[in-house]
Amino acid sequence: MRVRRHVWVAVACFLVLIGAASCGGGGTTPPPPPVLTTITVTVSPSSIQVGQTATASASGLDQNGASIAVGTVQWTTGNASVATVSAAGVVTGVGAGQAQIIATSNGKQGQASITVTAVTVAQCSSSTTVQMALGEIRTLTAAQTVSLCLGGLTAASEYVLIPFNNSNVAAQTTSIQLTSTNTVAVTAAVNLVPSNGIRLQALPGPNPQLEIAFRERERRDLAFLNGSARTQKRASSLRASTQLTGVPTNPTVGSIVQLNSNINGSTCSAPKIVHGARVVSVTQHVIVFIDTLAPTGGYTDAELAAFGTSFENVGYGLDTLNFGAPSDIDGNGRVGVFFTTGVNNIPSPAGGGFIAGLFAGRDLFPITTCIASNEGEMFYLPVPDPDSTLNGNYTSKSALSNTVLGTLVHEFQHLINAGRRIYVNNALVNSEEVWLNEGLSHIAEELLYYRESGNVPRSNLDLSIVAANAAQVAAINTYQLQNLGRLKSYLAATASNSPYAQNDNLPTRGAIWELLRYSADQRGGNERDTWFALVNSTTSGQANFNAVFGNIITNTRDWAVAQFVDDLSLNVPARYQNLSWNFRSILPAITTGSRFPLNTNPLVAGTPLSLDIIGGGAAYVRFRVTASTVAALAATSTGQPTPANIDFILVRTQ
Amino acid sequence: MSGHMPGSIRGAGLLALVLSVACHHRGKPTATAVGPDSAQGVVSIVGTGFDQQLVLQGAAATRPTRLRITTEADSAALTRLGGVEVLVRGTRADDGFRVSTFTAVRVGASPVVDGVLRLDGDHVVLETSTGRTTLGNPPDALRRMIGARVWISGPLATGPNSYGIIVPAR
Repeated sequence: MRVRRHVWVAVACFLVLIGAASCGGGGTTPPPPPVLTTITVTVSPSSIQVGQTATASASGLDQNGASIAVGTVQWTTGNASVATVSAAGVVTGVGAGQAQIIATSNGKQGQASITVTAVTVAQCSSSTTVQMALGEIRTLTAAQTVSLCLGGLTAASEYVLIPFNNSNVAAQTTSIQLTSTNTVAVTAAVNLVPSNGIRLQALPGPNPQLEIAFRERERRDLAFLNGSARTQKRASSLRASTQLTGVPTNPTVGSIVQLNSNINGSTCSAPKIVHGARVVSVTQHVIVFIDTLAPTGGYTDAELAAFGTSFENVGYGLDTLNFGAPSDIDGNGRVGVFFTTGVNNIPSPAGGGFIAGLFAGRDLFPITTCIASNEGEMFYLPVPDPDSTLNGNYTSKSALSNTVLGTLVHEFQHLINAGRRIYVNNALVNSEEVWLNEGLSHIAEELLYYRESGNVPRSNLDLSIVAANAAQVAAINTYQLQNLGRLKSYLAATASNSPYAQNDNLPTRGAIWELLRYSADQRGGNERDTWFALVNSTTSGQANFNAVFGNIITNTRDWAVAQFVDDLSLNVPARYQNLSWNFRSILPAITTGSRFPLNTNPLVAGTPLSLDIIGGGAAYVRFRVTASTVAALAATSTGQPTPANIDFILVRTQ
Repeated sequence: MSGHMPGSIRGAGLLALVLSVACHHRGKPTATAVGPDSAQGVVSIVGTGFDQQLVLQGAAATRPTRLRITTEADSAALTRLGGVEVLVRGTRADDGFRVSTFTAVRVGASPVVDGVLRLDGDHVVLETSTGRTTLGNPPDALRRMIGARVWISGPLATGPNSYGIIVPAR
């Protein structure tokens, strides 16, 4: 039987009425449901020091005094300058004083007081107070990191505390907080070797720093195809029939060959842009080509030939001696230097900049797997463009020409490194990791500097030597200023940069160059053996570094200490010295204000210091302890003891 | 009482059922096509400053796997994961591993959590594929990165104290 619609409605209404009737009138009145009426807050412990933590908890009572769930609690503090409280009820002491910790839920509030005391020296005694000799360097223990008593000397003393992140993953950032009692700001700069007023002037023309900034641009070949590079094909099997260029073994000066000049975008699979390349000069190891489409007013043939001769006589031998012979996939026993508009046509970043030159790994692979390859060992350099017909950043021929030799030795390291990995050493990875690869190329630039200046490594070069005369100034400006400038950018931000960061940023380049130089000096012996071992490794990255120098973390930590203590007349052990360079002497000459560019942080009593440090990074915290005073220091990380990946090295500097 | 429900009410009930199912599925993102393969290892950037490639390093003394990434955004994100152990999903090919998705899993010996920082009232939470986790006492740097995709490690109830950026907040 089909029930009509109105019947269902009636049933529903009936049920509602029954329910309403049961809610009131007639019979026993049920008691009101319990509701949260009172919140009680407990903070344990109720007294903490600055930097320490306590736990806040909340309990509830209903209108009848019975326990009831509090529900979701919103925690707040009545005085954030004394204590903060997290969403989970973790109370952190920030400054001395008292604060109310307040819990709010369902319109009710409760609170409890917390007392925060400054890091006290009351617990410091003669037996617990650390007294350091001038120049002493020590690594703090875990207990000393939590609470360190320092000073109590008859004279005032100054220190630098160096938190170092010993993670071998540069991407790992760790936050720490430092607090202190009885520390004051340092009164004067540490005894710098004063600049004699000589400044290392950059050469006229486009600012070389713009070129450096442009190199910083990241490029990734998203579709780079070189999977077949892992075949065991010998270099000789790539000759003749697979060659795109058809460059003969002994090319004739004046002849024109066809080369792919496209080095923008995907260098392996992007469409070829073939240009005529006229042979300008041929020497034993070098062929110089000029793009037939180069704008007028650029390099003369004599100038181009001079580049080739310079590379032949200086750069080629320098790199092959230190890194090994290049591969020879085209069988001509030479490397090509192609001055081409293809470099000019690579888009410049906003603000300008020029590319001094480059090596494209694609050229070491057969066109069967890398269709854009020129199948030969070669480099690409820009052409001068006085009338800005291509790109307004290449107008100065003199500025460009001064970069040629340094660029070639830099890029030649890349070429040797890649070619030997693929065709000589059968390395596991075709390419070295970028940070180490660029570091080695910057070492090549430094080696060129020594060659041209007549100076040598491990002679603690200072300003009086590198600026002794016009020739010395020209040498350092032409061949080493870039390295110094990159190092300067690293020293300005040591906590947020690392020598083994997985990037090719300027600070990374500056740091890894200096770490390699430092490590080679510490290793000793014939440094040619050091560079050859690194370039001819079958591993890459930190594994390669460790095989040659030992543990990269140990090296980096000692090197980080050396950044501050080297050449400070503190008589520190050799492991804390940069044996080749007196940077405190030289860097002020290229720094605004003639100061040493290492960034430091003051630690002043009552002012907590927060630091974020990446793996391999370090901070430099300076403070002074007055005479007959004991200072107390404490380090935490989000209110807890600092994690094991942060080392603290303390140095007495005055 | 017995009898059949009126058709209009039955239809309304069916509609409600359909809507509830639709609402349930509306919260789930449309699944993008993810390849059947996966790989795990440490991300490295190899090459030169001009010509870089991303590889995944597995066990020591083994050849790394070249990663093929199709977007600049993913390329930049994986670059920031240099040195971090990740799990990638996608498709293996002769010329490398074509990456569809990736997740940070470990830094050294320490597991990490990969997610997006959000604000829940005054709380900073990490939103992952499995839910939300409140960060007990995050560093100020993380508080300034709401909207960023990060990986974090360390005790979440009182921290975390270590982190890395994968995708910066916009």
